[in-house]
Amino acid sequence: MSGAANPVMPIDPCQEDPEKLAEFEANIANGVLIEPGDWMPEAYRVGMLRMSEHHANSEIVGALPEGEWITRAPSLRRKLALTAKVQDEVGHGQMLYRVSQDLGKSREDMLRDLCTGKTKYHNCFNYPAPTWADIAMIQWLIDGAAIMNQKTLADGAYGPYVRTMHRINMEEAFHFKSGEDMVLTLMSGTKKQKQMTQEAFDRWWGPSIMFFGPPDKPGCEDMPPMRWRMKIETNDSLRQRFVNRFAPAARDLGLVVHVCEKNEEGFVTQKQVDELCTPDEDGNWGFTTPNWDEFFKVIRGNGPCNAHRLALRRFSYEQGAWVRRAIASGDTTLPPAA
Amino acid sequence: MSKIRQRNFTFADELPPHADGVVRSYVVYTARKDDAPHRYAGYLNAPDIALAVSLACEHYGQDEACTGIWVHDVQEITETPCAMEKMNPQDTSDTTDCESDPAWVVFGQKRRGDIHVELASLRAADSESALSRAVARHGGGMVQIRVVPHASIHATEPGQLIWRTHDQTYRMARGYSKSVRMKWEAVRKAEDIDEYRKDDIKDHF
Ligand SMILES: [Fe+2]
Ligand SMILES: [Fe+2]
Repeated sequence: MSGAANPVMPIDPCQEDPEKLAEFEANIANGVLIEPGDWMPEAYRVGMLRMSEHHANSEIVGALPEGEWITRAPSLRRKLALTAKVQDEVGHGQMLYRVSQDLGKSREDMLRDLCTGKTKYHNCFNYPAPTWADIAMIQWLIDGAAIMNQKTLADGAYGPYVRTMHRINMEEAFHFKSGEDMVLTLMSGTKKQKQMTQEAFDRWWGPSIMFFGPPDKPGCEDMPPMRWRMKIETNDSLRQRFVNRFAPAARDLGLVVHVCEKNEEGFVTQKQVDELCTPDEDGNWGFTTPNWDEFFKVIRGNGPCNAHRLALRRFSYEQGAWVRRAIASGDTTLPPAA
Repeated sequence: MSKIRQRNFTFADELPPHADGVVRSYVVYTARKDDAPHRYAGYLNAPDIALAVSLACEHYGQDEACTGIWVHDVQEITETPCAMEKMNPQDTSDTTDCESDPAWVVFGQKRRGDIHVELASLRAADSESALSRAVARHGGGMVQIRVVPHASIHATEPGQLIWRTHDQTYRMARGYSKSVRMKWEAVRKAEDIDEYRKDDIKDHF
């Protein structure tokens, strides 16, 4: 299954056949969806491949910190729910790798590029989840942010990705609802539970604000990703909608939005109330601009948990090798004991 | 956390070479109840059809009520190019099926971006005549018609338990909607909750 080339740098759309390109762009402007048999600019194919590969990577890496908590869930129902959620996320990965495969890269190459750090996954999975309240926060804030983003992506132009987004979103609704239920339960609990939840909120609010990516460049609406409906809404607009939705909800729950200093391990060392986090006359909630240096540092692989997550992913890839070999070729030799 | 998971691994060398063997791609359709049409659910990779069916039951059969699953190799598909406009087949000079010809299942896609849904079955000598017959009979209002040999579709047994019948509300949004609403109502005004819920997913399992 090897041999498929890594995506090359997208070629400049100017090098494409101008007539075909014009027709392609007109179709997209008219709301026509692109199906795999259609002509598409090379930059579109590569762009969609990168996007869905990155999305697939995020699904299977994101399942790792959550999987760690299955054995320590506080009740049988929560344990069943978390097990189902982790299974869903891995299933999302399989569906998205499938979409990516059709865009020209083999699954083997994608899994290996992830393990060797050649390709990335979502930044937010490089932060620690030390308590059960972090699991609740991930399902409320991160799955909540993912839904807001993926709802817009389901209005995109690439048919196979759109179909996958619809199916994924139906499952994300469960992740989010059960996350809300966990946060609401903890915040109606003991003083200790509330404190634990506030601390988890402090750890996850920042990564949630950064979830939608860095501020948009001027004119991004006319650039290929948005012009070709690979991306539907700007990062800043999604971020504002997220804050408008979650900041007042958190306040009503009794959570306080803090601006936090964190150490190398991603733990909060200093915090103060975010004074900007109030609504303006248009109802838009303010927020302190996140530290984008931190964002780029994490992208470059130097976040609190990058090494650990990648090591665990690679560990599970290598430990799973005999399973893949067994089902693919009937060779059932076990790996050396870990 | 187990010791093995806490360890920070160091990897000096490249990954070992790929596992060999051929992994094929399969298309999965699910039916929500008996006699309901099979609807496209997704793809999966597997080394053979038997494993593809059991993986399909685990992955696509557990997230919503499901009474039947169809799986076939992606290579078995014969289909029209996906049209820009809905098809309006004029050729009605259709012949009747010959009982000794192999059976084909017809799937249709109503709009670009939609899923493929089972429409009918027919008999034809080869894929080419099956497709043209399928287009003539069922192509109206569709952007794409697909035919798959009936013999290459592997189906779960009728009555086979795919969707587990015990309480599975813990893995669905509706298992939480009511309790979540009640808990919010204890701390927020109804209109704030409604505003907040506008970004929810309306259509869910
Ligand atoms: Fe997911
Ligand atoms: Fe999720």
